[in-house]
Amino acid sequence: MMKRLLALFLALMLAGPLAAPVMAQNGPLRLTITDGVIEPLPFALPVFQAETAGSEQMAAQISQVVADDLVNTALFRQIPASAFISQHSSFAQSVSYADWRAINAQALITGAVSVSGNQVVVKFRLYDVFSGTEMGDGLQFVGSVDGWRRMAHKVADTVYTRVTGEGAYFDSRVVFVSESGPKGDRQKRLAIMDYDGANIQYLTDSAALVLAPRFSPTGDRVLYTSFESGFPRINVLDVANVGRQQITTAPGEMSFSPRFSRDGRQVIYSLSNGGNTDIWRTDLATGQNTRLTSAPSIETAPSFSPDGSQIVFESDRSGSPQLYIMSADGGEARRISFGDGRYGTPVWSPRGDLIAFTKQNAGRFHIGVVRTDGSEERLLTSSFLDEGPTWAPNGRVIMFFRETQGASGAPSLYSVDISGRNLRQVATPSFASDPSWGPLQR
Amino acid sequence: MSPGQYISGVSHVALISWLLIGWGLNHEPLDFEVIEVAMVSGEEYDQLVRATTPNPLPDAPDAPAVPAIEETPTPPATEPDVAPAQDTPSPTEAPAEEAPPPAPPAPPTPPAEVQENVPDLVQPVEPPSAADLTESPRPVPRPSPRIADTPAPPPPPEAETAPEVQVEVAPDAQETPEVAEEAQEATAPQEAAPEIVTEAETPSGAVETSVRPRSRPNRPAPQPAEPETRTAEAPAPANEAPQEDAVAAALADALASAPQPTSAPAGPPMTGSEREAFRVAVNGCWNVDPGAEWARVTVTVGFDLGQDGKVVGNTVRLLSSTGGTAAQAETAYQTARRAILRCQGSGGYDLPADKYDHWKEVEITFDPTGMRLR
Amino acid sequence: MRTLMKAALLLVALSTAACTNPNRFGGGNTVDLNANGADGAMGGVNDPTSPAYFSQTVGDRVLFAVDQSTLTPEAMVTLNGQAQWLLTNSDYLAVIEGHADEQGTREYNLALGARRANAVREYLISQGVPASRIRTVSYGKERPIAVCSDESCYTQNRRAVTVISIGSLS
Repeated sequence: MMKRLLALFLALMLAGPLAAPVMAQNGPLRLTITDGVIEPLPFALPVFQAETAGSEQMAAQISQVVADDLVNTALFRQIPASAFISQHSSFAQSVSYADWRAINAQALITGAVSVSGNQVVVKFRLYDVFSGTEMGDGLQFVGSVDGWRRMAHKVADTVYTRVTGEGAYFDSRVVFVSESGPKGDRQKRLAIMDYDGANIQYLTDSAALVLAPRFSPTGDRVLYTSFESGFPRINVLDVANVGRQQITTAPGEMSFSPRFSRDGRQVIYSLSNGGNTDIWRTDLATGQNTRLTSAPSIETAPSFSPDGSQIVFESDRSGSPQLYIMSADGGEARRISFGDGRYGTPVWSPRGDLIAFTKQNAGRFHIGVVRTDGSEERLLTSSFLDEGPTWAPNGRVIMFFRETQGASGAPSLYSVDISGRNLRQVATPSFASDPSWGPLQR
Repeated sequence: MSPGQYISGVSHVALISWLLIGWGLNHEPLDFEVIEVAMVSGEEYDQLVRATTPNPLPDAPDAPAVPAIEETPTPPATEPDVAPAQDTPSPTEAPAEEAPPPAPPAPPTPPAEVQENVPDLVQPVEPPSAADLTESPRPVPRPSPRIADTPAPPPPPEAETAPEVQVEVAPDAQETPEVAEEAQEATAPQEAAPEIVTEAETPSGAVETSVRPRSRPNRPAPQPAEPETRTAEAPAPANEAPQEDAVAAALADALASAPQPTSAPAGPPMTGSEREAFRVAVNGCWNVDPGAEWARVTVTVGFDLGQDGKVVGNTVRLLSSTGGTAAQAETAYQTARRAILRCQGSGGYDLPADKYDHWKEVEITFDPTGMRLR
Repeated sequence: MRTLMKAALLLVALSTAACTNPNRFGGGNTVDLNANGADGAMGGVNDPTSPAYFSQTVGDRVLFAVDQSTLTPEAMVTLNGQAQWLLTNSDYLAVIEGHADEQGTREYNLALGARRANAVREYLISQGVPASRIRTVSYGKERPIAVCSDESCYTQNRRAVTVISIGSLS
């Protein structure tokens, strides 16, 4: 502030007829930098201290998961322990920043783990090495032994958020379709797992074909399409409560491609009747159905904007599948995809600024993102078949499935940063498709 | 002993004694926060799953789902609070613990740690399964803790994705994401680059940008010809402009390009190449994440340098920012600060000693918007 | 109610069997309507009133061009035969399954399959088959009959299959 005033003052002097010969002092050296480097931020994470006898293994596991979470973002790089100058032997010990600076660690994460009975306590601190300060307060998580991975994810989430300023996503789950069997007779069942592929649990058996599960915004329910009745029908599965609800569909109708609204009270979906597919909305509490589109073309794959006011969907009204946005109550739609090729499965980013989609062009499939006004389309991936994007809770990462080519072709899950970097396969024990990323857990 | 040395000596003594005495005292009592995490234990989870899985029968489509949901048993969230962590060891924490317990949302998190959460989560599971599923006395098979219940073990070995993926890799040239494990630096960008090139042009540039800075130092060299005359605000004016305070920027420009004749005590102004070398030294440490939201924020950071070229104490400060939220500006600032502190190395920035007055105070505008992936 | 459910399930099983890889039910006592020379409970190929005759001789499927649900002249010939057969054998009901090849998203292909199935249904109705005897379902790209990833397989997968059965349509 002072400086600005001073500048103003000086400028006024200059502007005056007499350029001041008074100017004895120099202003600050002013520079502008527009090019940085893009590289992972190096961090050091000495294995967390085991504070109770026998908790060494737990401490090591937790340290590993924390490091993996960070490293797998490709925004962080772990400095191997062999490079460490000072060994952090106690959680309470003060940090000798110089030692960590010397190995170019920009962040230092220290922690301690104690186990008593079924309870695990994880503490950690995060240091900004070059500033010589602690970033945020130390934090402690208390939980059960079984939940140790979640505690590790929480630690990593906190570090990630403090360093990048972005929302967290490690402590989240993904619901997807687990597949097995030959391509001509795929067995499919719903499964749920941690974002990193750990802790897989199955929600249905494979007696009936199931497709495209979608998490509710709170992660307590899952929408999916089941052929249990012989015809595609939408089910709501309450993860916590066992209950199942079917969205009413008249005989002769097929319903599929559902998604929740942001408040979880409404579901938008495709309803196919007499060969024509349109978008409908149903209120789960009242059961009231509202038709949102009525064109002879195919309207499908609807997705709400985060504020619930708009819906992006796929339609072939122009002759080929393209993306459109309309009001949440239906009506006039505007097209937002203009490139060559066919567009499908649009999903609105939780940040609200981007829409992810599947694009098919010249025999290849891509996952891409585009701004909500249709500008700045960017393709993030390319393969024989990439499909079905879903957003991480912080809108930074997209998961999708990639199916390989040919008779032995099979799908598996991948994630990619919205920068188009860091494509990685998500390990699952069997084939996997149709991921839906749930919210950050509490 | 010149006055300069004298001053330097005194301030060093002061600094050292501050480090020895003051710092230690100030930093010992680090703040500490205790959080309880509501964990769904494997057991509980299994109960959930067990309850769900065994009835794939087409019956039981009852609606209990909806009402039950409204009042989700939101477990005590990650609310920072409470639990005067009896067991936090470090004596240093003691004082800090006094502070945090303002704990406003008292009800949800009583000190009873996990016990609190367990019942919370269990309740929703048990009662309904008892009530709703009267027809199916299925909850029986609950023998061992968790692994047991998965309905059918995932088709394990034959389902191994590996071979399939391999096949795919062959035709698809550079699609080897899994390998990225150790060297994801190398692999991931590779994968990314070709794809982006196909459609959108710019983003791919991002990867290369990391290299660009290095070539910079050479460039100014050829053109140091136009040295002293103007205190080169010239190279950067374009970037200076977007500043929020357009007026101030304009004025600054005016100032800079003004005659500025009498810098008597300061020695000759810095040459273009000296400024450029300094700029390059800093931007080599400025780590930009083009996908981050803070990459839309331009910050101007000021700091003071000692004659040794090192940043003086805690003088790094945020002067202004444009674009983004306050939180994003803060992250942008932290990133800039890290760059400034990191690149001074152990020996300080290499600046012409005779022109100290020209660089003892520095203001750098970090503008990542050109690198941002929209 | 129970039996009704069972009937429905049976229907589903049959319909699935008919539209997918014939080998998957190899052996056992399942009746495979597509197998050559099938001679099971539902009558042999040579019995003009048998479902096997329907699928083998009349032809139970019609194919579509990429992204199309318009019936080709060949398809109409086949469907004329189907309509004739259905009119003759009025005890049978038909479920028409629409399918798509794997080029396209899951959702779009479900919708496209629905279109194809409906195109067949409407044609059969136009030929006099009562609407009450025909239902449609779409499998999108979920049940390819040929599994390679080139046009030779895609052609076969872009299809609508008329699956016939005895009994009510639930």
